[in-house]
Amino acid sequence: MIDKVKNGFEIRFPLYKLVREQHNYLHVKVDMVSAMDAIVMAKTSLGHNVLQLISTVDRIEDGVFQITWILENYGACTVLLISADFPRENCLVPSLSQIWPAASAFEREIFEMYGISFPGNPREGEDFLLESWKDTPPMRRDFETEEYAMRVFGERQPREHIDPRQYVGDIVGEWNTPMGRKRKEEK
Amino acid sequence: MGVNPATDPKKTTHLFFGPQHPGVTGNMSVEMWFDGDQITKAITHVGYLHRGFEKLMEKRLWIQNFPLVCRICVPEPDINEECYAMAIEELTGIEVPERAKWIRTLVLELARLAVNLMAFGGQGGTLGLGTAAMWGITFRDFVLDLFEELTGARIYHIYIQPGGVRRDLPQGFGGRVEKVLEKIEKRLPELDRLVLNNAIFKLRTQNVGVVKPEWIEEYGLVGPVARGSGSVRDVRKDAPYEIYSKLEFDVVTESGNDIFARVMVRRREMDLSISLIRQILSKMPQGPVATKLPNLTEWRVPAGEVYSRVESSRGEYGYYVVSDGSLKPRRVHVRGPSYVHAVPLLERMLVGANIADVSNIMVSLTTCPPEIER
Repeated sequence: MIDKVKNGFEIRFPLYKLVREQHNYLHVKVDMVSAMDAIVMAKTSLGHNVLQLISTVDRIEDGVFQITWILENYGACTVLLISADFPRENCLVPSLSQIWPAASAFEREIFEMYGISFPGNPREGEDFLLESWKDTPPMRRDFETEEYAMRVFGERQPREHIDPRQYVGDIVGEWNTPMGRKRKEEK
Repeated sequence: MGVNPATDPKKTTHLFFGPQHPGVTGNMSVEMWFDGDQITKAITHVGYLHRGFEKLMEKRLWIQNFPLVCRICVPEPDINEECYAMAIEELTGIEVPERAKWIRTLVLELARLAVNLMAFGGQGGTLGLGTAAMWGITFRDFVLDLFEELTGARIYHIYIQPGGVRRDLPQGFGGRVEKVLEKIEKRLPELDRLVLNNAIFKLRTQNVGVVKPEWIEEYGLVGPVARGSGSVRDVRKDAPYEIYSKLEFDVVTESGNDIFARVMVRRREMDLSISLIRQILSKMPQGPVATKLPNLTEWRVPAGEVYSRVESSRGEYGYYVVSDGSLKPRRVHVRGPSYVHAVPLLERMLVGANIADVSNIMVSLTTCPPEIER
């Protein structure tokens, strides 16, 4: 089955890049213009008609977001990963929510976490995990967690340290603790 | 039905269900609009548990993430350790010793049994059968005793590691597992009589919370939710990992499409887990249980990307792991089955449902909000 999928990509997208291939697993990378065609081909012609996940990797050093769609063929028990790089600035990725209803939730999360817009998703912008988040999208590599925490929540006061021996000693008397009795005997 | 909440706001009731409600599975909520007692629209709200695990994982060494990943699912943490370890092993090429594979499968099946006991009893609990819920929790505790002995922890085991498991089985562990299985098996018929033979339970679960078979591929449904609607999809069978290919079992499936069918799948899954555990204990080979790992503070996993998947008690569970060859993961994306079950599926299933069935339907999907929020 994986050979059939691979052949489909070789014929239709000769410039595709093979990332990983195994017995029931294929990961390919295509250019961003071909991404939607590749997904539609995988669904309609290659039997991978179940969307399992949409994931993003922030490749900030290359100035791109790598979007990966993970599709499965339940009948043949195979998994197909299709990746494509999209420019990081004003990133727009076509929505799949008209093809798979489940895509809407994945895309809403990516919009919140990376700031990637999915034109065509009717629920884009609806709060998903973060409520009224106004800062840099938090899963971007240039979002500094520590700087954000310091700016928003301020420096946390150090915890008050209590020496347990002294604490118990203050309550029951210095020589009434087991250690205190031992020290007293030694004296 | 027939009332549009947008155009007729005065004719609908607007209700927030959860996140703090005994009928809600975990920390999530559902915002609903009603016409009478029938739901016309539902929106799932999550985010109450978002702890930024995936972001944290990018800032920690590969091995430091094991205490994090198990916390993504409280009732069944081992699947996270297994998925993450499998991904690292795939990227590094580390071999897992044969005995370690058997022990890992034993742990995964014990965890599945514990979850199904709790979920089966919990389904009764939503309909007022408190005894069933308590029994489910009690029997789960017997399994947790075994985990405590094996791993030192009852909930978060941090036992599976790349290249094997943390330690071998204690002396006589198999015998103690068998005793617990016998104890559970002895009580299961009583649990059946209490839940499955209960007339009210049948009335409230049959033809309620229907998952249409065509939704399985449309939404990417997995596990008992899909198998309760006739699907035969099970990663243990379809893409066997560890030693599942050496065990004899048939995929549990039902065709009722409703809550009762999903409960039956979980009930039969318990029998299956007991059978698999016995097979594992009788066939487990001797040998080492871990491969020696390099210096973990300087461990660089080769650059690459992989999607590893296992069958959890709720269905296919996946980890998409990306390494750039550095000391820390570049990206770890957790794909839990609750993502589609609790958000798009639940929002669709609830339309047309009765207000009294909401918690019943939610529990039948055994949604686990931390999987959605990571």
